[in-house]
Amino acid sequence: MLFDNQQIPPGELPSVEAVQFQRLPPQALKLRIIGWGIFQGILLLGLTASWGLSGMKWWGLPAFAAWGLQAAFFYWMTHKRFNREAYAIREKDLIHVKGYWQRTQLTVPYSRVQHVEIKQGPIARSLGLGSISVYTAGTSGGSLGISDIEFTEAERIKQFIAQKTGADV
Amino acid sequence: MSESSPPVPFYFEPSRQSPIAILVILAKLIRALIGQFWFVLVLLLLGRRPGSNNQVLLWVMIGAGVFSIGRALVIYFRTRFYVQDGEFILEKGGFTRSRLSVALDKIQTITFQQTFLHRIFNVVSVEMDTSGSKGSEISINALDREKAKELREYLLAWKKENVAPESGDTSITLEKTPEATLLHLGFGDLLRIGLSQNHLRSGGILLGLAFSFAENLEPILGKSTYQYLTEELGLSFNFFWSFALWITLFFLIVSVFATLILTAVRFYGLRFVRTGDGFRLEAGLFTRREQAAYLPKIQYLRWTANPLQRLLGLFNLRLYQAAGHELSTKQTLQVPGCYQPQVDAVREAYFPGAGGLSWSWYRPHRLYFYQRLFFIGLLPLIGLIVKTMVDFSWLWLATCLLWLPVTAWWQWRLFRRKRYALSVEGLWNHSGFFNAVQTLLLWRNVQAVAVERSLMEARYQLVDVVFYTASGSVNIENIAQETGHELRDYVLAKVEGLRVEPVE
Repeated sequence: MLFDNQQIPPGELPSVEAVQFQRLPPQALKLRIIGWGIFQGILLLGLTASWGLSGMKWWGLPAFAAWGLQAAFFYWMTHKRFNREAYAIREKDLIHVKGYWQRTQLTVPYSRVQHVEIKQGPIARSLGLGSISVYTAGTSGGSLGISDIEFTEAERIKQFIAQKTGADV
Repeated sequence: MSESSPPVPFYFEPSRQSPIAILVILAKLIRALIGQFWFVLVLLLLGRRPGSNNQVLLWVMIGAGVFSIGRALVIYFRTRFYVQDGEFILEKGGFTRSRLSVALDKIQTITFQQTFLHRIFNVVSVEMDTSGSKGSEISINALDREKAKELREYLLAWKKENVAPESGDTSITLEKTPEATLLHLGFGDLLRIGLSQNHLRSGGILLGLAFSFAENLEPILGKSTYQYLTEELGLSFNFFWSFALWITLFFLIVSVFATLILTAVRFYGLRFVRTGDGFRLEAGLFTRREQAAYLPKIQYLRWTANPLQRLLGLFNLRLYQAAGHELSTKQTLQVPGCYQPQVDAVREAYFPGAGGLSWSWYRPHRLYFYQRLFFIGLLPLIGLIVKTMVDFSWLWLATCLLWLPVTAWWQWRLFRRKRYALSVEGLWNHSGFFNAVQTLLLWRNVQAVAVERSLMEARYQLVDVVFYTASGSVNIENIAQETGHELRDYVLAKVEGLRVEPVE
């Protein structure tokens, strides 16, 4: 016998599918729209400057049209991604679901957590938001990061994980 | 700690490195300087001066030499290490001082390395890696081999007494086995390994290096390397252009020799040893590296064989150890030239009873084949057709006609060879077209589980499952969603130590 818990009947397993997921707060969408706006604004400024410096040539119209199309696409994607992102805190693990085209559901057991980090940028601070990153050993792929949740919630999760692992994470 | 140890072992008191460390630090600096300023050396060799006279250069070199020796002495005298209150402390510094303390339970691997210089004086450099770190946090330039062994034994013994294994499964008991050499490579073995390596890769590396070197020389020579060789040295490349076949043959022969030399340098005198609690690998001609793998730190095993190696019954075996992200490649034990008995011995040590377990076999859905055929076969074919239409030639037409059947056959073979075996204790993956690859993973080594689903997979109710370990990930692609979810739940339950009554 290799281990003392050899086999678990599939019917008795706690399933991730049955979990009630917590969606991101509405302010998170606001923050992401602000981010989208800043990025698109810089792009538009750059495009306008290039067009102006080139002597307002013919390519301005298709270039601005292309900018408009991609801006609309990413605005739509921001909403779609926001609607598809959620997380769940279970007794023994943390689950994060994200992605529109490619859905990823990552589960990190607390017993594998090396340390937890919470961050807050200036705009996120004004909206009361923050990000939490839960790191596992070794490679970066197995680490879990939830952006734009309520900062107090991020702190609560950090404390909860610390309590679960019985260590200062 | 063994009873034969002195009353107060050296590592409990602030200790200096071996004085050979001064030479090692100097050698490192010289190597770094050559790496940075090699173009000056090339200029000197080509007889061109950077503008100023030679005397200034001489004084600069003398100044740099004195500075380097002074720096090496300061580093040597200011570096001390010791173990105190469950921490390994390294005080170091040249002109700025630092004190690094690492909890002993965080130390993942201890590696000894011997360059040619180390071997002359029978000392080793010691590197300790901690989980999640960006590099070897603790690095001792030179330490007497016996002292280094004593330190490693103490650290391993401490960990064994005070830390539960990486997996968190405290029920694992290690059966201490006597030390035995599993593989010792002789000259004939090195030749066999060298000849059966992937020569196309070596040829590619050689070509890349040649182009990069020629490009780096351009600013120094003031003209392209080709122009320099043809105009200044009077060489004519027309000969080579006319005999492209000979060039191809030349590179193939060079790459075979290069691979042989690289294999000999890297794996000379390779000894793969089963130690009491894991494995040890010693190899290298100029730099002799000694890596140890403590059994609970081995995350997963992978063994591969290309067609030539399959004919010879050879395998390349890799033991993936828990290590920091940047070090995961460095901490992988690569053992080339293994035969089936060695692979079986390592497999049995890592995954006892794997052969006796019942394995359920799965194959990826056909979507795996269709998707790859679309991206590798059809999309490039569209480009090829456009190219042929714009710039017609019989060669492009032939490529167009052959592309789809060849890629379809290639991807079909790849698809047919991909299999996943699942058991209550682990996963056994089989894959590869050119290289036959087998990967063995124990569930208890999983750090996190991801279930991924693309739009196409959603249409066919399929998922990919990714198992992250402390040394990379192992994937299962395009399996039924239900199976993927069940598997994820099972592995999580296993990792989280859920106690469920065993099934009779």
